[in-house]
Formats: sequence, structure tokens, C-alpha cells
Amino acid sequence: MTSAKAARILTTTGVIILALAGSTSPLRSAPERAVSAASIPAAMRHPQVLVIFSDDPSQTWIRDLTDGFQLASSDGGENAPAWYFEYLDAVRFQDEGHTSEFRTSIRDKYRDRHLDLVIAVASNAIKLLADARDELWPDVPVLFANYAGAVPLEASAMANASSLSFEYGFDTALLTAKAVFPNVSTVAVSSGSSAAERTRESDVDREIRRAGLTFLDVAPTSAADAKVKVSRLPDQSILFLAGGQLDESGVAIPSWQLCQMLSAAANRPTIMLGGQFLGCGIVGGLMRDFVKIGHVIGERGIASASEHPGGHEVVPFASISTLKYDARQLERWGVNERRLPPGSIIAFRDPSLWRDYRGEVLAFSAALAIQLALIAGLLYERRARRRAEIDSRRNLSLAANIDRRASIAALTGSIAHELNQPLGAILHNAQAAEMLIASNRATPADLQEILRDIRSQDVRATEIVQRHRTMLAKHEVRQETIDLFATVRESLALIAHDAARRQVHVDTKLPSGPCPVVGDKVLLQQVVVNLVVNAMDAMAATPPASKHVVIGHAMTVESVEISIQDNGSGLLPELDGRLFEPFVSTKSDGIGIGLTITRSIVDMHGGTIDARNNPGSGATFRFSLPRLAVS
Amino acid sequence: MTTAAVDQSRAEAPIVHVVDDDEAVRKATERLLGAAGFAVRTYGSADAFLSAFEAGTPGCIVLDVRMPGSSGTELQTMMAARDDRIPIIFLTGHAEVPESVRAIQRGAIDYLLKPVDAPVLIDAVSRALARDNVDRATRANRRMLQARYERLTPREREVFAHLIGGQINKQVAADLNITERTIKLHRARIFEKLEVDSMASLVRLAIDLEIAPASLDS
Repeated sequence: MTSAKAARILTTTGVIILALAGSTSPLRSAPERAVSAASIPAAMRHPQVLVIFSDDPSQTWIRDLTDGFQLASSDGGENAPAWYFEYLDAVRFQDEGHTSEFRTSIRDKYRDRHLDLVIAVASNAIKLLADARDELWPDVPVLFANYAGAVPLEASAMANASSLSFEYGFDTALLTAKAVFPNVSTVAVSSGSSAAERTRESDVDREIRRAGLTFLDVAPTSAADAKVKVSRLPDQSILFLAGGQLDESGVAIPSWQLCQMLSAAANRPTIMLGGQFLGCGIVGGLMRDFVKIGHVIGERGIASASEHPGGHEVVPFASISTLKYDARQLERWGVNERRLPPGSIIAFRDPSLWRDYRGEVLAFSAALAIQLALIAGLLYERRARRRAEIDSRRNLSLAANIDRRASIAALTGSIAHELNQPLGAILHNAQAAEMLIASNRATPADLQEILRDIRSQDVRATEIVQRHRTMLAKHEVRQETIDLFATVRESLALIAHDAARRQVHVDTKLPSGPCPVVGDKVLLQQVVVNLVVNAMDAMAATPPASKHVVIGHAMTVESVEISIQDNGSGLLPELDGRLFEPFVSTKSDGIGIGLTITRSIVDMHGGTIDARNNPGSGATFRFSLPRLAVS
Repeated sequence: MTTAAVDQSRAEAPIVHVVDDDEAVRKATERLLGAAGFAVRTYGSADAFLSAFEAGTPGCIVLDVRMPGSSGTELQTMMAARDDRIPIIFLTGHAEVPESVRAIQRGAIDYLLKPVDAPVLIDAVSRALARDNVDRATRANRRMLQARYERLTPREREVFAHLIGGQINKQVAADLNITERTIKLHRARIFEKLEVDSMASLVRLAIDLEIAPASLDS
């Protein structure tokens, strides 16, 4: 039996190396040689690797770790192993009986698997594997990985064992936090009550003192007690949640919920060392990235399973950390983003026009500010002197000019992209012609064709510029008969590229026939552009697949109505009735005159405008204009 | 042996497939790459390309990222699903960093910002074709080895599996219940048919073709 077994191990793992050495060499029968010489067969048979985690799979860091293993697998190519994941769940099941049952169950489960490597992740699993190895897998190499301290000597000193310890990194993380909160003099620490956590707390205490700060132990006895304690922290302190699944009447609170509860209750900023907790209420900082840790363990596992047995390595914090902050928490604690260390990633940030188009926004804010001063001046003048001769239309025209330029300016980015197409075609045509001439291959017919295409692309570029120039030009109000539907379609052409860039689908439901109204074409275009851009802004957070703007119409004998329906965030109830008033805006960077001007233009045309939330999601803006009586 | 494979791919001139929904841009790119000496074909959409492309022909794709219908990245996904490992160069109107990282990770040669200057594009195309040539040679070599292996009779394959398992003739003979002399004959035939001259090359071939050795128990 034993010799047959040895022979089989040899066949599956060791034979090719013998074959390469020469077909006539006698069979060697030392199993431990066969195991370590597994390099070539790895290409033929995927290594079988068992990974035992200390914690249960619902924990965020365990999910990140397994993601890291999969990443290592996809890098591993031909050597990618078959991973078997087992979870000891030692924190929630602490009695001795559980450990021995777990041992028995994995022993039976993997009885017929020829494991190439067993990995134990974190201290409880390491202890289990160190104790059970002789009984379960005496000949299989083992890898101990610990991210909560050094791998114990009795484990790493074993034969055919390698280890990875990950630097705790609290000292570096603390220095980073100090740079962001320069006034902080005290670090309050909340950790769990288990023995391992108490040991770690003394390390934490030492690091805090070494950083020149005061250590404050927030040792809660219950969840309610914790909430009270963290809401009364001294000024100039930060709260470090050292982990710990707080135990109240025998029930463990999951770390994420614990973090949410304490961060919400705390009167000072909270930090944690695990990057997977960003979003639960911590500010962020230099944190461990468990995907990276999983990746490192996975890579080492693949190498150990297939060729290199590996040694004992301490993985530096720098290679497993990530520098991330939560924008909402930075705002909550009034931290200026400029103070963050270079290279920081800021998550959970609201999209902002300011950040994406800072230059444009500055220019237009300036234009709008001047305009506002003008409007205010004119309004004051009118009210003070009640001068009937001030033509309100000229006021509107002036205000509308500025607003229109602001809209167009917001579209400038997309004009640049749209121009790239003809400019790129011109460039390539010209470069092709140069190459043909340089190599004496140019025929007059070819060159003529190239020049013709260059000219037509030039016309195309000019048209793009022209289309926007009309909107940018100064404008006196006109009264003429125009086709409202054609006017709407031309407005949509102006924003088409911007809509495509924002992945918004614009659905136009207008009849093909004309719809004559009396009015000013450019100003009415401005109404449509404002309302559609407004609709697209409202859908910033809508998933791309449902970003729809529907342009509809309705007709009565006297009037025609155009509707712009979006699928966005809808109108805020507190703005009810004030939506079209000046300086009312929900956008952090908006001044709030766009809709005011839109309504003024519609008023001037003898029409009405209103906005309502849709029964489902989003809102619909409608404006109606008197139809021109067809006599 | 690799020389033969390379010659085989040289027989067909590589084609640069330009996929862009903008006709003027498409034509200008075709003209430019044509002037640089490449054979070019153009397509107005990802779907037009997919229905016209013959799998296995040498070349590369110059692909616009944003198009109506299937987008450039979708085309990349579809090609990967069909196992058409033809290199792709992406062109884009705007630099979307996450998208470009994803495309490069999935094996795109380059992610270029429009308008692309001619030398940059020509360089990217040359690199793509060079890589395609190497990839194709590797695959052709493997196909050739596979074809040689197919020549073996079922019995010879059995012997082959035992040989690469490191067994000497006597053991193979015992396992297969035939004389050692016959094994020697089989062995000579296997070496001849697979065009190898040493045990080491035989094992290398088995590794390339991922053929598992026979287990001693069977």
C-alpha cells in the first residue's frame, strides 16, 4: 500500500524531471524529492491548494482576500491552481469542540485530494494548521500568512514550511493621519476584548506614544456604552477603531456595522487600518488593502505549489497599503483636500462641474457675476425711477445673451471633441499626401481627391463652429414666423454631442410637419438647450442604460406644448413654486438664473412654463406657446 | 520548424482593419496607412467588421472606441470570446483613463488619443503586426506538433504516454503486456513520426501539447 502510494505521487508529480534527466535512469523512490520537484508537471496538472481562513466568508476583508487570490490566479496563467477555501470562523465559534470538528471535517473532505500546498491565513488558522499538520498532511508543504502580527515560531520552524507576515503599519498610518489633522494630540483607541486584541492594543499604545501623542483607551462594556464614550471624546483627538467585534449579550456585531455605529456617534473623526472599511464612516488615510494582501499570498502560494518552496518573508506595509479618503467625511470634519498627501484617492465624491471644467466654470462664473451685477443694477434702476422707457425686452435680451453664452461655454468641451473628427481626417489626409509625394507615388488624381476631402472636412469643421457662433452672437429680440418643431430640432443638434458624451439617449417625438409660431428663433433655442441640459444634469447619478430624455409635444387649437421629460433625481419638494425664481439652485456650482431666463423668454412669447415630478422617477418640464392662427 | 511556420504566415500579407463609424475619418486613416505601405480594409461598424473578418488571417485592428451599435470595447470582448487573438489599437476622442486601463489589460496594443499623428499611428500598427506575427507563429507551431501527434496509431500513443512518464522499455513492455522488442520498434516509429531525436525533445513536445503521462497504476 505505502509503496503503491509513493509510486503514484511520483507519477503525478515527479516523473517528467526524471524523464528529462534520461530515460534510463532508475526510479527514485523518495516522496519528499518528488514533492519539491513539481516544476514541470505543473504545466500539465493544475496545483491543488487548500486555503484555511480564520474568519468567516461574510467579512469584507475575507472577500477582498479571495478577490486577491483570483487576481493572482489570472496572473498565474498555466500555473493557476485550483483553490479550495475553508473558513474556521474562530471568532464567532470559540469553544474547543468547534476546532476539532472543523479538523475532522476537512480531513474527511480532502482525503482523496492530492494537495500540493496548504495555506493558513491569520492567527487562528495558523494555530490550527500548526497543530493538525502532522496528523492531516505531514508531507504537503504549508504556507503561513499572518496580517495581524508575526507568524509564531512553532509554525514557521516546521519542515517544508514558508511564511508571510504583513507589517501592521500603524506607525506609518498614524504619521499620515497626523499630517492631515495637525492639531491632534490624542488618539482614542477602541478595540475588542479578546486576548489577541488586548495584546495588540499595547503595541498600538506604544506606537501612539512614539509618535508623540497621548493614548486614550476607550474600552467599552457594551454597544450603548461605546456610543456614549465616543460622543464625548476630547477636542484635538481622533478615534482609532482597532477592530474587535464588540460582544453584547453574546452576540457579535459585524465590524462594518460597528464602524458605522461608532463613526456616526463619534464627536471626532474616526480612522481604521483596513481599507475595506472606507465608506462606513471613517475618514480614511493610509490603510491596508486586503485585495493586495490576498494577491501577495496568492502569488506566493502559486510559486510554492509549483516550484519555489519559498522562505520566511515580512511584507512591507508600503506594498499592501492604499491611500484613500471618504469625501463625505472630509466635508463632515472640514478637512481641505489640499492637505491630503499627494496621490490620495478620494472616494464617494459627488460629481462636480467645478472639478471637471474648472477653467470653463471660472470664466462663466465671472461672466455671470458681471451679468448679475448688471441685472441687479438694472432692476434697481427700474424700481427706483420707475422709468417706463426702459425696455424690458432689452433687459431680457442682455440677460439671455449671457445665459446663452454660459450654456454654450458649458458645451465647449464637447465642441472640441466634435471638432476632433474633421481635424483628424484633415491631418491624416495631409500626412498621407506628404508620404505619397515623398516617395514619388503621388498621382494627380489621388492628390486631387485628397485635397477635395480636406476641403470638405474643413467645411464640416466650419459648420460646427458656425452652429455655435449663432448662439454666441449678441442678439436683438426678433418677432417673426418660425417653425417651432424645426427650432427644437436645431437646438437638439447643438447638444447632440454633449448628450452622446454623457451617454444620454435623446428621444425626439415630434411630427414631421411644420408648427408655425411667432417669436425669436435663437431665444427659443435657448429655452430648449437650457431645459435639456438641465435634464441631463439631473441624470448625473442615473445608470447609463436608463439615461433618457424624451422630447414630446401636445397641441390644442390655440397652443402648442413642448415637453422635456427626464429620468433623473426629480425636483426637490422644498423648491416647489420657487423653481423659476432667480438665485434658486440645487447645483453646488449653479447661480440659479438659467431657469429664470428660460421663463422670461417663454413669458415674452406669451406662453407658460411649468415643471412637475413624474409619477415614476425624474421630472418633466413643459412650455407652451400660442399657435399662429392659420387663416 | 518555426521557420516553416513563419513562412506560412508570410504567404498572406497582413491586413490592417480600420473600424470607425465616421466615414471621413475612416477614409483618411485608410489613405494614411495605405501610403505607409499597409494593406488596409475599412468597416463602418463593429458588426460590419465581425461579419466580414475571416478568423485566423494575419493583421490587426485600428478601432474607434465610441461607435453607435457595438462599441469598440464590446468588439474587443467579442473577439476574445471567439478566441480571435488579433491585436487591437484603440482610438478615442477623449482620454478615459479607467477605460484605457481596462482595454490595455485585456491585451490592447495601444490606446491613442485623436487626432493621432501619423508616426505614432504607424508605429503602433507596426508593433501590432509584429506581435500578431509572433503569436501566429507560436500557434502554427503548436498546430504542426499536433498534426504530427495525430499520425500516431492508438497503440503508439499508449507507448508514447508511458515513455514520457519516464518508464524504460522493459517497464512499458510489462505494463502493456507486449515484448520489449515490439516496444523498441514502436519507440523508433514514434521518434520518426514526431520528428524528434531525443527523449528530451519528446517530453518537450508532450508538454507543449499538454499530454499527460500514463499513470503507473493504469
